[in-house]
Amino acid sequence: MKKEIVIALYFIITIMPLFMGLGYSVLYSFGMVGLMNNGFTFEHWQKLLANSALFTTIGYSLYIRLASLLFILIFALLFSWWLVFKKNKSIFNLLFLPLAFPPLIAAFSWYYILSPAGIISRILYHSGAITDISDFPRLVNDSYSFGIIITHVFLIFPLFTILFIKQAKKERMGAIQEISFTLGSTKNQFFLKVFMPLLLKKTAPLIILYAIFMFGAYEVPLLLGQSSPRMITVFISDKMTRFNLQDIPQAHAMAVTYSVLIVGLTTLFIRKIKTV
Amino acid sequence: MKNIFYHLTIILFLTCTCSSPKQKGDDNNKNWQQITSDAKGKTVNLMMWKGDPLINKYMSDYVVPELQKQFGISLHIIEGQGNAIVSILMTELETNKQKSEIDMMWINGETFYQLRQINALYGPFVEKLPNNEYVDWESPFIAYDFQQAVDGYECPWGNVQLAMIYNSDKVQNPPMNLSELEIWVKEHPGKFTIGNEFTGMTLLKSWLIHLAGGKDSLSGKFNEEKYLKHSTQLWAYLQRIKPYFWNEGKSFPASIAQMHQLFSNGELWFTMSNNDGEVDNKMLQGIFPESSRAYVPEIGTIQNSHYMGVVKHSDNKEAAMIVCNFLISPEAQFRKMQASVWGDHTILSISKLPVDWQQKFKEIPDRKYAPERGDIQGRALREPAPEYMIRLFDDFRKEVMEK
Repeated sequence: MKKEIVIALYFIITIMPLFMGLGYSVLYSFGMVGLMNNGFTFEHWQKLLANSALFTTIGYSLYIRLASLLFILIFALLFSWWLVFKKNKSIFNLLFLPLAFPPLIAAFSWYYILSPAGIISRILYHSGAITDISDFPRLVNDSYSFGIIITHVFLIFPLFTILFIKQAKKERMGAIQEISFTLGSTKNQFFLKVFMPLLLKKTAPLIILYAIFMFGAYEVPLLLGQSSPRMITVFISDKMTRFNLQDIPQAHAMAVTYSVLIVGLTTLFIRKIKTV
Repeated sequence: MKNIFYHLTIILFLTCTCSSPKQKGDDNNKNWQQITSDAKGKTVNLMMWKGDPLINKYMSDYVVPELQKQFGISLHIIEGQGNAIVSILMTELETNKQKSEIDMMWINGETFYQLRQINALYGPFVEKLPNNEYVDWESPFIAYDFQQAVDGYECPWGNVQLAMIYNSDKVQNPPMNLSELEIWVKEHPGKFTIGNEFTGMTLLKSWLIHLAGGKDSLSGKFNEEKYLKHSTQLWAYLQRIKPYFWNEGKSFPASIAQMHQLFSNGELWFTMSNNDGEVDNKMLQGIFPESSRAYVPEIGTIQNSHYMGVVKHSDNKEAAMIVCNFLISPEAQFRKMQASVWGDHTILSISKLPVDWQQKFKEIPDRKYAPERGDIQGRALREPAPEYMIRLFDDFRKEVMEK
């Protein structure tokens, strides 16, 4: 009985609010609640599915997620490799600094560093490297979302670096390296065939979970992204708060799609972990 | 165990299903003296945009203390505008909340339209305000909001006209029509853009009216045929000049503050404002370059008013009405109209005011960098029906941003 109460409490505090929100969005998207709705309808879902922006939004979110993750892992692996074997404690401590930045502040900072009127552009202008701020390449609100990716890397690569360092210590990477060198391995071979695969495999659950939840990034793409395409969260927010109140049910339908996507991916991932 | 989950699931769905909200009717038959006396000691929550330091100063240094001194009312100002207001009130109505967190709010056409749609505005109440006798109701720019009759559901507060702002050091002859703008934009790539927000869409509405034949060509109810015909011309025009916009038209500023910032740091040579007097205001704050000037092109721009609305399910409606009455008093309007205070044009008819106030209004110093109101009144266009704005917002994304 005691166990059941604990489970029920857990359900009430954590799962129920989420399901209530999702339930509300499902009802709203089918026209069953909401001041602007007039009863059950598939209309809002049909409109959403007919909107080509839905698919470009999902594709774009996927691109941002994969590109950010790729650079985060490359930087984190190289940095952790350097720190594990150089043992530079002061640099290790500096890694905690970006973790203290709220995403919005980080986005603003990178905006002021990378924008055509930003710090780098001004330095180049005053040094004579460029003659007009329009000569500076566009690195924010740009087609490749460079600004978003660099901000994500700045915010998250320290976390993965710390994680990799801890994992490397746990795996006694120093000892493994000595053995591999004795057996004739080069530094590059050790990095590519031992260090990198071992750390990625051991931390795979966290990497995949992080990749899934990066879909939910909002502030950074809002400030540094293009007007089109948009990340899923920005798309939902736009539909929810724009001038046309008839778009609100579509925003709920998109929120349901997003939740189903995340829950589906997480479930798939958990099953995969269990079967390994 | 199964029972617990079964019951919790039932509760979950019951809580999600909301009943229709019940609205209190207008049962206020008190005279103004009773209203003033009953409102004493009340706190009024006003939700408004707080993005301008001069407007904030006007409210905190003048309106708030005067309301306390003259009427014993505490005015509590909460940050929020347009969609935030609609979202809060919508949620309150959907959850059948009897007493709103907001008593009154600063709104304009789009929010008025939305709040009327969800039946969240108290009214008609404006005729009960003693200072209503001075309001210039003969002006269609005040009596109609997005082609909808105000009908006493919102109290006018200020009147503005969209103005283009340019850097006169860089732009010697600002374009006066769409052809001149096209030539200018192509000759100066990257220095012009349109915000994907209210002011940008208001500019597009002005252009749509021009393409449809000028003044009053889009008056009356929304006309699908006219919209399709003239918006097609508008999108074709924008497609031609978009590659020469800021960031090659790949992204558009999401707020007017971002436009102003790009203008201030020299990335843009043009910005715009829904307040024709804002250039003076921004230069006094040191935000815009000294060479900034405002003008209204010969094809005209939208002129509209902004208002105060009272929430239908507020339990402080009387105190909110007193705040509205104070805001449209000659004293408060006179102060607000001065460029050093705010520079917002009055909604009062000067000729209806007592003679001493007429004199004071006439003595307000001229604007330095914005055109005089009398000079641009002939280029003022009325807001078309709200559906034009809805369609422009959607189609601008589809036809311009996503192409």
